[in-house]
Amino acid sequence: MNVIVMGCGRIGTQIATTLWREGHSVTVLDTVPESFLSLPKELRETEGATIVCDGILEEELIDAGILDTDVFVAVSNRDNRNAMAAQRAKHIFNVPQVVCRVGDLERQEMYNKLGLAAISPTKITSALILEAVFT
Amino acid sequence: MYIVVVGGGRVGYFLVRALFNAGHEVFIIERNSRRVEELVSHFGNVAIKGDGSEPIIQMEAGVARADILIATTGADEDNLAACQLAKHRFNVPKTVTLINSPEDERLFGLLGVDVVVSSTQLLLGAIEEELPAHSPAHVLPVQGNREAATIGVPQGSPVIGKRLYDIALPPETFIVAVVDRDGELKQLNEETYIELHDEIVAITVADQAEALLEVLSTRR
Repeated sequence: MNVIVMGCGRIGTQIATTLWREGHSVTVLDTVPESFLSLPKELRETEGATIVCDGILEEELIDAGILDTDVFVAVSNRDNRNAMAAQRAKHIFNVPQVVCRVGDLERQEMYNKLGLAAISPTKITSALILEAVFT
Repeated sequence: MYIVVVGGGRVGYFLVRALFNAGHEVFIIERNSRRVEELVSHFGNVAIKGDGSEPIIQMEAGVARADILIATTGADEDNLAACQLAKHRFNVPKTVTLINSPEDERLFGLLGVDVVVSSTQLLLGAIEEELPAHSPAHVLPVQGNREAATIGVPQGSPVIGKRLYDIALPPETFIVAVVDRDGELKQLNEETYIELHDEIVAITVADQAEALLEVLSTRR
């Protein structure tokens, strides 16, 4: 599969690395070139695997190969940017699978209701911590 | 009406002033605390500091009872988030946003933002109004002192609605293709009509290129 991962923080790195090891074609976007240092060297040095951009503009996404991508994952540390890029991927580029990270719980639920797969690390992490404490 | 404005920058400031003067109840959400102080000193206690796309801030600002939310920040993603939250979480009947990137107009429309104002489009519109309506033409030299030109048919062009064969072209000038606004090639025959935003591909001689541009795009 072709996969675009927007945001190369810890979560983005983990997702991109895992999928790449499984043999998928992965493109990672981030505004800060140094973020790509967290990726495996071989992936980082693959032609076209990393692109410095914020993923907000249509042309940036087209350059990243959004027209042929099967999966678009928006996991930067900015909720609004993730939500907008993900909705653009879904509604303008008709990417089959789109998932985005939204920290705020209420907004995560709102996006889910709007048909956008949104995941809140806040919700998941706090649930796991509570479980660890009380079981 | 109760109107909440997200973003108290320059646009937000003058907008708020105009809305107050028109007798509306207005509240402003602004990220920068110094600007919030300025707004408060101008308009009274009608601004809070905060991120206008956060539910808790919209709650504080009374978005739940707002008739309209207007987003005027400099970041399209923040404007979109504020409008979507207002519409879907707080059931605001009308959301209006400024956009910076013209391509966002389509996306925002699809996502249910009621009114999308594109500053770039407004400026372009103003320029089209003010200047002689020469739309950008791309000219390529061709041997024999000829030129190949592509010319977009702009608003106000005298050839809009005209039959291709009825257009009086300058000497030694031929239209070789017409592409419509969707990029489809038009068949060139008796029934070909020119429409707004068609792109015309023509071969002409060097000293007639200007005349051709005049024929196709000068506003009458």
